[in-house]
Amino acid sequence: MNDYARPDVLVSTSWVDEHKGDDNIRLLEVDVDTSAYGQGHIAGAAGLNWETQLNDQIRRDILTKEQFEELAGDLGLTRDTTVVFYGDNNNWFAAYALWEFRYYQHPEENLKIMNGGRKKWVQEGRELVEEVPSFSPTNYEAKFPDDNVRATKDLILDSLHQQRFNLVDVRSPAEFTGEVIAPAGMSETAQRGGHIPGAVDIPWASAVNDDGTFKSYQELKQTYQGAGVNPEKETVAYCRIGERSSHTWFVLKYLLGFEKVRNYDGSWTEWGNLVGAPIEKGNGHTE
Amino acid sequence: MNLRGGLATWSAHLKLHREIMKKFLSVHVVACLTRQAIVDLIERFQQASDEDVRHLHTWGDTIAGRMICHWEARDRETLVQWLEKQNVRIRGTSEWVMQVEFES
Repeated sequence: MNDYARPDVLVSTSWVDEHKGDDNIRLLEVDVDTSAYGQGHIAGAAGLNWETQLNDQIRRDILTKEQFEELAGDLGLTRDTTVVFYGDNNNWFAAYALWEFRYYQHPEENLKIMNGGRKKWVQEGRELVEEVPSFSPTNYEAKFPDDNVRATKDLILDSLHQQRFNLVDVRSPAEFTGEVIAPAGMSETAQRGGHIPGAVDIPWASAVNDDGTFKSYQELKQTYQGAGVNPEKETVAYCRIGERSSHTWFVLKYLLGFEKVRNYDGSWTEWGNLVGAPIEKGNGHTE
Repeated sequence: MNLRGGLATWSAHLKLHREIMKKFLSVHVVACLTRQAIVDLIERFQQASDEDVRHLHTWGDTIAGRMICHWEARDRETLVQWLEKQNVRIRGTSEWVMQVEFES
């Protein structure tokens, strides 16, 4: 892990096993399979539901500052707490949660992801418990949102002609080309299929190994820079609803050390519904 | 009808059913659906199964964002139309339905 730009943002399963009981460490499990936590989790870990606890339940948006403070307070956090995120599907939603904590400026040095996530922990035969921990509530005070880690439709629209951003579409190739708009079984979640003009398609899973750990610095560099993602330019990652892209945001920002990276959480379910927004179909035909 | 007659009728019905129904595989993009959402979809398939289409099994990978389904159906057209009623459409070249012509 030492080749990464910010190796301190990753901790190993053995490190977590050793430090899981430390007073200043809080483990947060965030899963795609929201029943996984209930089936057993790391001792002392709290479970977060990304849909109901990390998003506003009325407006389409992430938590407000006040809602975030309430969540963090309920988890017994202070800004000095080291928060270690982990989850299933190669830490997909763990990265989403970390991004939101970073947006509200929980100190970067106190945000970490357990490399390999839940899968690696289970594969190594480490202990899982069913006891749900309780915490003494705190009066958590978040800072103002750091808009440098979040992209909006207006920001992207205004800069499309100048090609200010590397646009990294992390969805599957079928979603990128426009063949598929919504997942199977769902009504179309966007009016149009395709991608933002100029985007390159680098599916999020390109960044992980079979055991759930992140690929090496050299492999990641080859993947992203090989696809034309210029580290000197500002980068925006997006997907369908902004969760898969937070995983890539984490990789680009902390593992490869790109200086300016944003997650566009509106993603395709916003862009594909915008009246008049330019769209490319296939591998590059603008409509 | 006595028991033997009933079994014979049922056996004939099953034989006819096997002759009429064909096996199919289909591939679908589930993108970022959660595991629960995929399980819910499969339960919808089970509940909607009828004498024309029967869901047999599904294999999925939420990391790859794909699932493969195994079906019994009268014919491809019936299956595709049945899937559309479940809000599952065959789109582009990434999603497809294939009749199982042989197994080895």
